[in-house]
Order: sequence, then C-alpha cells, then structure tokens
Amino acid sequence: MKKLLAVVLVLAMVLTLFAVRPMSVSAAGFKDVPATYWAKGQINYLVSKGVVTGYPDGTFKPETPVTREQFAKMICIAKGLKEYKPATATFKDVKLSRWSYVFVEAAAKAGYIKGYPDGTFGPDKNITRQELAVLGVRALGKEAEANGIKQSFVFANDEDMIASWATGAMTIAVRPKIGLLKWDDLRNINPKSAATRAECAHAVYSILVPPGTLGKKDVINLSEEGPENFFTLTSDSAYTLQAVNYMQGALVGETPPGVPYPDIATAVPSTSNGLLKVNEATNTVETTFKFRKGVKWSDGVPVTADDAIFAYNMTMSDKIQVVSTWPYDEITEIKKIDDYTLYIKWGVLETYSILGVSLYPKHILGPIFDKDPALINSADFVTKNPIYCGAYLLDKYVPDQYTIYKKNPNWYGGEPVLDTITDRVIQDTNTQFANMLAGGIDSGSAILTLDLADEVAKRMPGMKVFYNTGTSSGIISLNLTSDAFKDVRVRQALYYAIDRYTLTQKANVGKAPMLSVLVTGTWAFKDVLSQYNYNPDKANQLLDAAGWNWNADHTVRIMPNGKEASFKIPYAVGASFREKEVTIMQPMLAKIGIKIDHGAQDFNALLDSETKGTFTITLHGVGFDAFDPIGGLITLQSSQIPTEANGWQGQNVYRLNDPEMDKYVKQAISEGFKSQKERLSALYKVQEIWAKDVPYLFLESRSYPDFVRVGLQNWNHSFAGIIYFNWMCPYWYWDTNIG
Amino acid sequence: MRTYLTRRILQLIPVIIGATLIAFFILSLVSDPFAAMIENPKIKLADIVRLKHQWGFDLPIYLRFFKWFGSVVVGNWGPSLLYPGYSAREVIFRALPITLQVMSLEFIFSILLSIPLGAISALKQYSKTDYSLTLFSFFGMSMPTFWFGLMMMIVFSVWLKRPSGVPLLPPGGIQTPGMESAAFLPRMLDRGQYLIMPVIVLSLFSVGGWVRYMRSFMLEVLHQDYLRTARAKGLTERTVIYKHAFRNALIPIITLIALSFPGIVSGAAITEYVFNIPGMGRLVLSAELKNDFPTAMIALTLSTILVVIANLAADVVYSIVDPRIRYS
Amino acid sequence: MYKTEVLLEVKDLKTYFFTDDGVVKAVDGVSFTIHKGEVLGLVGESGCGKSVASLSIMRLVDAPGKIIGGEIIFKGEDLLKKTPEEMRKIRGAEIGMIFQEPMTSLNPVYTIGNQISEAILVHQDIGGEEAKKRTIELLNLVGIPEPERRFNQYPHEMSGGMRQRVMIAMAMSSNPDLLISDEATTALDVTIQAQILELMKDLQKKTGMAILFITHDLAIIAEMADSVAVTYTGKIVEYSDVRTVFKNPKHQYTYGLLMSVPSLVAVETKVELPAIEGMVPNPYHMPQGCHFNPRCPFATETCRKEMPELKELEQQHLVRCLHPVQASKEVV
Repeated sequence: MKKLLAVVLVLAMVLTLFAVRPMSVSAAGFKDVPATYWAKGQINYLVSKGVVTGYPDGTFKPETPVTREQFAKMICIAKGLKEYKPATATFKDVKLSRWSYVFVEAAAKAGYIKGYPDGTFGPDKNITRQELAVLGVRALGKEAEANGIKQSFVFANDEDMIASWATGAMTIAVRPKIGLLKWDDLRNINPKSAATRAECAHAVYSILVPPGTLGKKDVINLSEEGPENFFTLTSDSAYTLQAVNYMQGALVGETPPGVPYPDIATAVPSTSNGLLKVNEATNTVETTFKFRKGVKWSDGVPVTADDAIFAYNMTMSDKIQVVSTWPYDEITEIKKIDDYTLYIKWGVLETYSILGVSLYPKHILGPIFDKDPALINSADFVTKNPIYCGAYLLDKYVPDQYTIYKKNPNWYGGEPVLDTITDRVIQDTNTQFANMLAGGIDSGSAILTLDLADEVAKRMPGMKVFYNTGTSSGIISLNLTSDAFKDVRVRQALYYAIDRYTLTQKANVGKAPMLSVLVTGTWAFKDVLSQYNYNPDKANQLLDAAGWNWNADHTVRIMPNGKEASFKIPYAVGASFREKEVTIMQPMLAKIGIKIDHGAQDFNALLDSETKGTFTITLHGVGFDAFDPIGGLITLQSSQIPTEANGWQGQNVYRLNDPEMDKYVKQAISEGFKSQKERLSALYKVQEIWAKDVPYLFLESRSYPDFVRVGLQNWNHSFAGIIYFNWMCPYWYWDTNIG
Repeated sequence: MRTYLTRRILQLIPVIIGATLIAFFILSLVSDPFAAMIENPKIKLADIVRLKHQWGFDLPIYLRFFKWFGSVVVGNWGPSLLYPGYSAREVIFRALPITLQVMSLEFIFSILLSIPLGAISALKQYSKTDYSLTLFSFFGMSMPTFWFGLMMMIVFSVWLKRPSGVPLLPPGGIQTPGMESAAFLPRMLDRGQYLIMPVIVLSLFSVGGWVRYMRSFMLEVLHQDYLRTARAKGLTERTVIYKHAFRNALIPIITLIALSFPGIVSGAAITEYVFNIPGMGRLVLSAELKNDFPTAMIALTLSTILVVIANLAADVVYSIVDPRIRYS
Repeated sequence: MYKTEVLLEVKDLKTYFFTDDGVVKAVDGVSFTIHKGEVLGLVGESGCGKSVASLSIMRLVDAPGKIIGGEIIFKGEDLLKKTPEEMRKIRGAEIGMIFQEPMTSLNPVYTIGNQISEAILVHQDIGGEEAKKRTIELLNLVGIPEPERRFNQYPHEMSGGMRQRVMIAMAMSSNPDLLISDEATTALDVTIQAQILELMKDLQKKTGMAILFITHDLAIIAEMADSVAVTYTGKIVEYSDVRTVFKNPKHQYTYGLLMSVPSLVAVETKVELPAIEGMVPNPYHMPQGCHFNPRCPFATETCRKEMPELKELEQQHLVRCLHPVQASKEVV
C-alpha cells in the first residue's frame, strides 16, 4: 500500500512537471481550437513562445478557468521575468514549497500582483476578468493612470457590476490600444466571471503585442457610393449614416445583432435597472439617461443633456428638411434633470425608446438655429465641417471620390489605433474589381454579390470573405385554416421535403437557409429549424400519416378531402427570383407527391388574398429587425388574425391559433423593457413552439458578403449591412500574426 | 452681319425658354422625388407633405415653372436633392470643371489626331494606309466604352506597375488622396495621370467618327476642278493640297466641330461611371434616375443653352470660313 | 497657214485609261503641230479625246489614265521626259490652260486677286505688292472694270463671263507661249461667248502667243482657228488649214459635222437638220477596222477590216480614210 502511494505520488509529481513543460506545437494546432476560434491566433502565438502549453491529449481546453497562480506564471514567462526565490514569502498562502512560489514572487517583485488586503494571494482561486484587467494594466505600467480614473468607460450592460478597485483598470483594458478584454454577445463585460484560458491568452498577447504596434496605420475601405452629406437628419442615405458612424457617439449604441449598450449613457434604461418605467394604463414609457462625464465634442466642449434636447428640437422643427421624425414624434416630454441627466416621456410603448435621442452640438448649431432654423439645412456642419464626438474626425472629403477620417485622439473611449480610415467610392463593379486587383483596397462591406464573393475567396488569398447574414428571406405563407395545411404533419413534411440549403445556394444569394423565425446571428436567435434536415423519406411518412395517399399511378397524392395535392404558388409579377425558387422546389416536392406550379400575380392582389384569408399558399420576401424581434413575433398571436369583424386588421395571415404560442408571445412582449439577458428565455420558447407549429416556411437567408484583407482585427462581420460594418472602427488595427 | 447676329441672338431667347419649358414639363411627369420616400417605412405621410411644401412641389405645374424660372434667373438654382444641404449650383459647379477638363482634352486630342489622319486617308485612298485607318475608325466607333475602359484598366493598372509597385496608371478616380490642398501645378499634374485613360477611351470613339468625316470631305475636294486649275498654274503639289484642297475640306469639319461643342459640358456618363469620375454625365444620370429634380433641370437647361449657342456659333463660323455664305 | 517656228509638236501621242472594265484608248496615236502664234482648233464630239490630249500636253492626266507612248516636243524638248519639278515650271509660265467651267475651276474660298497673284508669285521672283500691281494690270488687260475692287472679290461674286476673264488673266499672267483653251466658252451664253472670243483674239494678236483651241463648236473654229484637226475616237481623221477643211472636207465625219451646222442661209424652213447617223461608239467596244465605219454611208468591207492611216491627200491636207470624199462641196 505504501509502495503504491509512493508510486502514485511520484507519478503525480512527474505529471505536474509535464503539465508545465512546453509541448511542441504542430502546425495542425489543438483539437478543440478550430480555425475560426476567436482567440486562435493569440493562443498559437503564446504556445509558440512557451507562455502557455496544451495538454498531452492534444487539446488546449480554452474554456477552462485559470487560477491566480497559473496566471502569475503566465505573466512571468510572457514578460520574461526571472524566477525569483526570496527567503521570505510575500504572501501568507504561497509558501516556498509551492510550485508557483518562484513565479508569484517574481510577479510580486515586478509589482504586477499585490494580493488581498489581508496579505493573502489566493493562489488557487480562479482569476476573475476584472482581476485580470488589474494585473494586465499593471504589467503595462498604467496602474497610476488606472487609479486616477473614477468613472468607468466600459460600454457594457453590466458595467455596474465592476468593483470600484477595478474601475480604472477595466476602463483601460477595453481601450482600443490596449484591448485586454472583449465583450460577449450580449455586450456584457462579465467582470466577476472567471477568466478562461483563451481569455488569458488573449490578454497576455495584447500585453506583449499591443494593438497597433505591428502593421500599417490606415485602412482603405471600398464603398459603392459616398455620403450625401454629414447630417442624417436631412439625408436618409445609408452611406450618410456610414460616414456619420465613423464620427458620432450616441447615448445608447446598438450592435448589428441588435444588442443595445451604453455608449455615452452610463446604462441602457430597462425595468431591471429602474431607469425605465412602463405605465400600461396610460400607455406611456419614461426613460432616464445619465451621461458619462468627460465626454467632449471634437472641439473640446463637453457633451451635455442640452445637446440631446437640442437634437430633439431640430428634429421636430418644420423648417429643417428632416427626412423622418420617427420615433421622436412619439415623445410627449423631454427635459433635463441636470446637465448630465436626461428625462424623456414617450406617448406609446415604444421599444426603441431605450435608444434615446441623438446628440448634436448645441454650441455650434444652436446659434444658427436661433437665427433661422432653415439655415441649418445648408450649414457648413452639414456639408463640409461636421463636429461630432466620436472616435474619428473628418479630415478630407472629395465628393464621390473618397472621404478620409483621422482619429480623434481625445475620444472618450480611448485613443483609436488607426491613424486614418479612407472610404473610397467606386460605383462600377468592374472598376471595383480592377482596384482590388491593383491593390489599394483593404475591405468592403455588402458590395459583392455572392458569386463574385466566391471568386474573391478563390482567387485573392490575401483577402478573407465573410458570408454575413442579411435581414431578409423568402417566406412561403400557408393558410392554416385551409384543408391543405391545417394538419401540422403536412407542414412539417414540407420542411423535410425541401432541401433549403441547396435552394439557397442554387439561387446564389446565400449560404444557408433561415434557421428560425428570427435571423441567424441576432441576439435572441435560437436554431430551431436545423432539426428539419433534408429527409424526403420522413416527409413521405408524415404525409402518409396525415392521410395524403398516393394516387393510382403514384404521380401525386390525394388530400383527405379528395382533391389532388396540386398547388399554384402565387408570387409577385416580375419577381424572377421567386420564379427561380419555385422551379427549384418543383422536383423536390414532386418526390413526395405534391405538385406545384408558377402563379405570378399582381402583388397587391396577393397581399389582399393573404389579409382576407382567401389564399392557400403564397411566396414573397420578408424583412426583419435585428434589434426588435417582437415585431416579427406579434404576428403569431391569435388576436392578430385579420377578420371582417375587426376590419381586416392584423398580420397573422396564416391564422395560427395556438394558446401556448399566445402565452409565450405575450410574455415576450411584456418583458420588452427588461434587460436583454432576462428576455431570452421567453423568446427562445417562442421559437421552439414556432418550430413545432411551423405555420409558414422560410427559404433562403440572404447573405451580403464582406471582404477584408487578412490581418485586420475587430472588423465586425457577424451581421450584414452597410451601416453596420464600421461600428467597431475605433478598435480596428492590423496584426497579421494572429490572422 | 450684325443685324443677322442680333436677330439670331434675340431668337435664342424664346427657343431657350420654350425648350426649358418642355424639359420641365417632361421631367415633372417622370421625376417624382417622393416616390422612393413613400416606400421607406420610417418616413410618414406628414413628413412627405412637409417636404413637398418646403421644396415647392405642391404648386400646379405652370406656376411651378415660373417660380423655378424666376429663381434660376436671379441665381437661386434650388437645392440638390441628391445631396441634401448642398445647392444645385454647388453640386453642378463641382462636377462641371472636371467634365470640362476631361472633355476639352478629349476634344482637342481627337481633333488634332483625326483631321490629319482623315486627310491622309483621303490622299492615299485605297492604299494600305487608308484601309488600316478605316479599320481603326470602325474599331473605335464600335468598341463599347465600358469594355474598352475596363481592358485598359486591367492592362495599365493591374498588369503594369511602376518601379515603386503602384499601378502604372491609376484605375479610375481623379485625384490622389493628399493632393487636395496642393498647389495648382502639382495638382493638375496629378490630375493628368488620372485623365490619360478616360481621354483615350473617349477619344477613340470620336476619332473614329471624325476620321471618316474628314476623309469623306477631303475626297470630295480632291476631285474638284479648281485643283486642276491650281496644278495647271504650276503650283507644287504641297500647295495644291494644303492651300487649296485642305482649306475647302475644313469648311464642313469646322461646322461639325462647332456643333459637337456642347458635348464638352454634358460629359460621357458611361466613361465617367467606369473610370469613377464625378463629372456632369454621371451627375445628370444620377439626378434623373434618383429624381433630383432641381439638379436635373439645371443640367438640362445648361445643355439646352449650350446647344442653341453652339448652333448659332456653327452658323457664324461657317460664314467666316466659307465666303460664299453671307448673311443679311 | 502662217508659217513660223514650230512651237509644239505632238508625235503619235497615246494616252490610255486602264479601268477595271477594260482599256480605253482615249488618245490613240495623235499627232499635230502648232507654230508660234498659230491657232490650232481641235474639234470633235464629246468623248473623242481632245480634252485628254490637251491634258496630256500639260501632263495633268489623272489615274487611271496614263501616257504610254509618243512625244510632246515643246520648244525642242520632249515634255514627256521632264521631271515633275521641270513640268511645274512650264505649267502656267510657258503653257497656260483655261477650262470649261469657270465657277468650279476657281477656288471659292480665295479672292480672285489672291488666285491670280498666286500664279504670278510662283513663277516670277517678285514681291506681293508688285504681284498685286501686275494682277490689276492683267485684270485691265482682260477687260474687267474696277480691277482694284474686283481684286478682293470672290469667284461667286462674279458672272460667268467675268470669271472666264479671270481664268484667262490667270493663264496669261506669266506670258505663256502657248495657251490651251479647253472648251473655255462652252459654258457661256452666246453673247458672252462672243466677247470672250473677241478678247482671246485680241490677246493673241497683242502677245503673239499660240492657242490650242479645243471645242466641239465649228463656228468658233471658223472664227478663231488657223488650222483644224478633226478628231474621232482618239484619232485625228482630218487635218488641214481652216479654209481647206471647211471648203473641202474629205472625211465623211468632217463632212457630216459641217452639214449639221444650221445655216442662216436656209432655203427651206422646217427641214430636218441633217445629223450623222449613229452614235459615238462605246470606248470599250470599238468597231473593227475604221472606227467610223458603222456611221459612214460609204463604208466598204475593207473599211470594216482595216484601220486607215492618216495620209497626206493634198498638200498640207491629211485625211484618214480609204474613200475620201471626192466632190468638192461648198458646204459653208
């Protein structure tokens, strides 16, 4: 027994030795770190430098937490600190005999770690992300600066969870030139969560190779058109918004997948944090926005609540050629509580109320407005010299040729990495390509069609192509009160019978079909349709079970009501794309005994047949709102069925009537003003029920590819949209090491 | 002559007014800047009504014409709807110089090239030179600009590079970023390298046409009796061709040149599109497609005025070069 | 005939046109002589080759025409052997030529003064001012009133007769020894024609220049010429002094031509004007033998086989015919 124990002990000790000896890294990498893993480049780099190692089984286990002593060792190796073995231990709980003693002491000597107030270090506790930030900031020599920061600028939905001693460090940690920590998909910074191995690797890499130390300091982006002006109030062009996105800051920002986050405001109003109050009796919403202090316009003047109120006044002025006043026309009261607190009362239950109002510099535009509001329309601010408070400033503008933005070194989020960003405007596709081939273009968003994107992916190895998801899809609406589609088995059979992946790719507008009633990649998305993989056998079984029997010569099925399963699919006249889809689906449905045919129709008549319920099946396109999923889900309620009695109001043209669906949609609506984290469970449930009921069929999910030169970091490409791609522009930088 | 000129100039006025009235009317029928706005879900009907009033679109058409004409004459050319915040005048005056640069270069280049080539073609009728020039002319006239322009870009920007690695000629555009504030001469030299390809592409078409014209006019002249007289007088062949023949062939050519002059301002939309030149051609096309009524109207009016003036100029020039034409 | 030194001797001149449809023998072995101060009339229907013969002398024949044989001895030198440069010195200076259509023969875009001065300046080594003076003198000489004003006029501002005078002035500007008049009066109306002929006779007397007078109008020949050469299909068929040809024509063609001139001394009115039967043959399909045989009332078999030679029938009277007219008919 003793002998066994001794062997085990020796083995254990030997194994722990192995655990810290660097393993040779093959180019193949780790089994659990795929090529698309977010921290792959950083992990590989650190492994190659011996800062971290993988496990003997070929894994890296990127998601496991890291203990404080493990991190001490990481930082020592990374910074090249010599192991230090003083006679007296600095911390009560890290004794000389401990394996990490030499590293902990070295790190303490370097000033990176200070331990707890009670003199302990807590070596085997998991290091939290905010502790990681603090340590990282110390390693970068910015501790003094961090101590001087009293107000957090972390732009996270859980900013209030940051401990006071970590405020400065967290603020510095997310700055563009530091980049120690990243936000998660719901824009939380998770200060108290344990930092994973991947997150530590990422942070250590950023300490060794801070963003911007490698590579060039500019980006040349390709656009199809230039901005109309620099004032989104009078220009509804997406390219104007794109230009202003480089330059402006907002109270509440929105990620492309639809997640709001506090930008200049300290928090996004919700019922959870008390900054939003809903009064269902009076149908009003009250929102309060607290401004971060120290935010300045690019000319140095502070941003205050006055600027928000002024923005509202300009929007509602009828002498300014405002393109749209929505949703400001729903505001019943707007006032400032103090210079940094803004109160808005809305006259409807508006989900967009949490985004607040925009900000315009009152000290510049105010005097013009007071003289004559109509002068604003052609002010210099609008056409030549915009003053905003964001990360970039307008440097040069040659209309319809290029716009050059230079960084705002005083940006409230920290100094951006890139010195300049150039938007080059080229309208002709062939000329765009010629320029890409000639060199001189680094990126472009939603410019290429799918087949061109495939060509770029094949022929230009220096460019990466991202097949972003778009916000539109084809939808086959079914009338659930019709004989044909009242049986859910029939509807499910359709999903099994149509190979939606092939359909999407053959029609060449996307790479994948819709996988839920919400678009892939949006914040509340849950994949509920992958269960309906292409399976004609299953489809046939379901149809058999539903009583749709084959006719005598096995060419088509007969429905229980005796009619042939033969349908004309109406779509808008001239919609050649829909025509293509019907053609592609014909053989697929023929296999399960359903005949379909083309039925081009006047679009208004088509919509009318849906409203009146006179249709059986239709095909057209549909668009989605990433931010507000409720809009698409409202139609699923039975109360939304248009009837003669209610004057044909309502969008539930499919006439879905499922009490469970009603229950969860109602809950989702009622939770509309909570924080996004809290709304997820109801929204997931709705999607699951939807996948069970399948009241309509989704076809393709449109893709709008981006292309980006290899090495450009932080380009947001998870979701398509001209106006979305540059929202992370302050954080863009070049690093070809991490790919 | 003076009375003739005065009379013609006075005649210009009703012609211009009439032409602009017709253009205004037709443009109003097809150009509705609000059609696209109605599609936008964020824009409400109240917004559209408000904008219509602000831009003066809620008046009946004849009143609108006079209101528009009156303000144009005074100098207020209206707002540009393509570029909210900019006036139509600003937008046109920033596209106009660029088009003038491109088109005048093309104009001069094609004339200087095609007149001698056309004359040579005629003098050496049916020779190999003539056939090659004819082939070249037809090639130039039938080559679609968008294809040829693209081919040029591939050759001179993608394949051929300068020693420093940048393309030999820039693939489109009109300016290198950074040159906006440079002095006039360096800026113009920089501009020049951008204009080489578009000017060649544009000239190709014109040269083809002009060479054919010149050849035809020259041939006609070469068979005239007065050349025989000239030779009978003992003049050298050079004098016969240059002094006697050429001078007569120039008469119709000069008239044609005067008539194509308005092209300098209207630009060439396709070439501008392909070579990414923000000129009048592209501007007018965008204005018409996107219903920027004020800009489109001004551009049309400008063209109209120029065409009318060019016609008058052509007549006057014709009478100067051909002594047989005299006006009373 | 007034006999002086020989100025121009054309020997067996052959000028053919090589076209895609065949060879046209426009001038097929023509010979004649002009003495100093002599007026030779070259007569024939349109297309008989007389213009081409005159152009050949000036060597102004355009492609596809080519002088392929013969000699043109002018002042003792064969013009056909001269270089283009030498020819240019002769043209306009020693031999002048005027043409049929004065409107198209003058360049419409230059003033007539310019065009005449040009002729002077190219051959005479004088300045512009001097040339202008001489031009005005010339204009006076040819009978144009207000020559200073006319100097700056354009051809279209003048009448046909005026223009022809200008042409004459241009052709005479360097005092040529020979003036070739190629149907110069054909396009003018009769009264003007008379004036121009008057002028030409006058100038001829004054300067002593020779004239090669080409026309199809016999009346003019009678008035102007000293000698006459009748041409038919590129060949001379009768050649003699004017009196002999008019009073004693020996070739049936000449006889026919003379007969077809309306006479003021007509005995009967309403009598058809006798015309020569037939038409001038197609230059690509010349008849065999004597070219005139299809139209000749006296043609025989031999005529249809053999081309007769130009033979001296009597003194200084050459005829190309196998059966020359016997009787001496007083025709005119």
